[in-house]
Amino acid sequence: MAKAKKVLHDEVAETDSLDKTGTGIPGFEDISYGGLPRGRSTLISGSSGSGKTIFASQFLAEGINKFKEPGVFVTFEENIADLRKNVVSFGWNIANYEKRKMWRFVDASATVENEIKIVGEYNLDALMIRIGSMIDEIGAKRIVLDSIGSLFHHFSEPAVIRRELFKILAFLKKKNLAIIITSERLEEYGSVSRFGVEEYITDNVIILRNVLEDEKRRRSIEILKYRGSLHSRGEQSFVICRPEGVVIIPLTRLEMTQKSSTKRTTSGNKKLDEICGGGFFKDSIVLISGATGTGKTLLVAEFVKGGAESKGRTLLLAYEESREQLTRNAAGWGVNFKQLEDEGSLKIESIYPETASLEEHLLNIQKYITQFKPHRLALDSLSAIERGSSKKNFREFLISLTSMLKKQEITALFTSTSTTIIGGSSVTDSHISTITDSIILLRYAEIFGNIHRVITVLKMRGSLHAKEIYEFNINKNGMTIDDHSFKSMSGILGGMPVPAGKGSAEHED
Amino acid sequence: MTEDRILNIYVTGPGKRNADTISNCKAACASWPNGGSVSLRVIDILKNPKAAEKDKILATPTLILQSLDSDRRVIGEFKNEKVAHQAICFLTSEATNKKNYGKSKKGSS
Repeated sequence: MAKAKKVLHDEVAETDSLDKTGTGIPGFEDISYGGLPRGRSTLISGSSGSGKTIFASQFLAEGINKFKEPGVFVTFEENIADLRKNVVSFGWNIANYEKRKMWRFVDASATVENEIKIVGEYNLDALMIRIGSMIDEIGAKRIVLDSIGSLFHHFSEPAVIRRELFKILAFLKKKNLAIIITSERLEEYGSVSRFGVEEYITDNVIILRNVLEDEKRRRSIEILKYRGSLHSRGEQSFVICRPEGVVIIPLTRLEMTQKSSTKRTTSGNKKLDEICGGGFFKDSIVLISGATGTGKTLLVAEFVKGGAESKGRTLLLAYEESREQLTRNAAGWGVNFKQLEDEGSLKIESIYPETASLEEHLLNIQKYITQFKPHRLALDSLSAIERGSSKKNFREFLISLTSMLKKQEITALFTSTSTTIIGGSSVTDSHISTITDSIILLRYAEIFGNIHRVITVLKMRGSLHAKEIYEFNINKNGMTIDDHSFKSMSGILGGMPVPAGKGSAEHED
Repeated sequence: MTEDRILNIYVTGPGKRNADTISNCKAACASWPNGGSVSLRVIDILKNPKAAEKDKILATPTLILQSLDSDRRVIGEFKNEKVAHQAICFLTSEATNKKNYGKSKKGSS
């Protein structure tokens, strides 16, 4: 795997001779292998509301903020005052950029259609000269034309517009600018552009989508064509948030570069550490699966306690219970969340999963991690997150999250609720089990008419672990796991144990 | 109809076709029959890109009436004096109905 990655990178270095400039749009450099090329044009096509203008504005604003490259914005639709106002919430102060001679507008927003009369041959040299004069005035390195669709409306002769656009693009390319052109499209999965010519006059084509999926809006970006460059294929999720603007979550380019740690860290429960062969691996993802009330949140509390004892910080993401509920419950198990928070070894973020899309949750988590720099992360529960998201979307969320955690060597504990009370598996488990390194099962077992709680380690990547099933009790000291495993029972995980050996004996009769 | 009007014609560079368009337009101005005088100002965008920026000129040649209220514009070369005459009619007829036009524009938007 690592070798294959290496080869791929060498290939990039050889074939990719384009002079690219960073867009400054988070994640875009990853999927485009370095940004957008100078001296080439890129079409951003998308339905209305897909984020084209924001993407384009961000390209110029970040060009100024991160790369000190001046830019020109040619607007064909929105008026300049509106454009300035609309992006203020992203923290892009265009008026200030203009003052600093880093940003110039060219107002090409045409007038009402019936006020134009065309009587003979014409060209768009005027526009080209205006653009050229602005470029020269500030020494622009980037340019945006937003959106050229309205040109086709106003001049109603596609052949002429196509010819003239081609001329303008050739002019801009000669000046070696990185060019973005935006264009409307009518359907999310129809033809690339509305007038069918835009994609032929540009070198690269990027599509922005805003699709309704299971009653939720999901934004995605796809690089359809990138002349002379490698790029990620397929749709990548992105979100538009403040103050960052467009943030792409580059899933298909996540690299498995994380090194595997052999260092162990405590689960917070001595006996559980023993069962796991010495604790969790430091950079591992542990999944706790169990029915409601089996003690998943209890294990989370133990995990938090273990973190504090080893002088680490734990970030607790609570998607099911409020901070107050959690604190109260933990107190019942002898863990003082409030005190730990005051000491700075714990940070609880309690959020309703429905308040944001999975991409937004992911970005929030990323923010918490950057701010708090935790050594451990507990997420309670995945099932709550999964509720109301599509299966594909959820999977992507999980992969992005685990990759993010592993890269930073954060020990993580996820909980997942099984759908059946006694025995059984859960739907969730089936597609998250491959992503997690260890799985711990908590189950109810009925033994002679009494409900018992049992725990077992189902899987532990890279380590020996006890294969037995243990009974445990919950009391004011937390979780107490029996010293000795069940030896005399079988069928415990199924929920209906029978004394070992008895079942088979009956069959022989 | 005794208003004196000024027209602006935007062109790019000298060129024969531009010269023809300008001379046709000048002729139409000179023989303007509808009262008042019509004069023509020629603006070469190559020399004065800022003026084109102010009037938001995209295409050349473009003929506009120099007036704060008018958004009308005629685009394209004038093959002959007649075309130029019609163009001026289109621009100035708007000027006479300026107020009504302004209202209907607001009403429709």
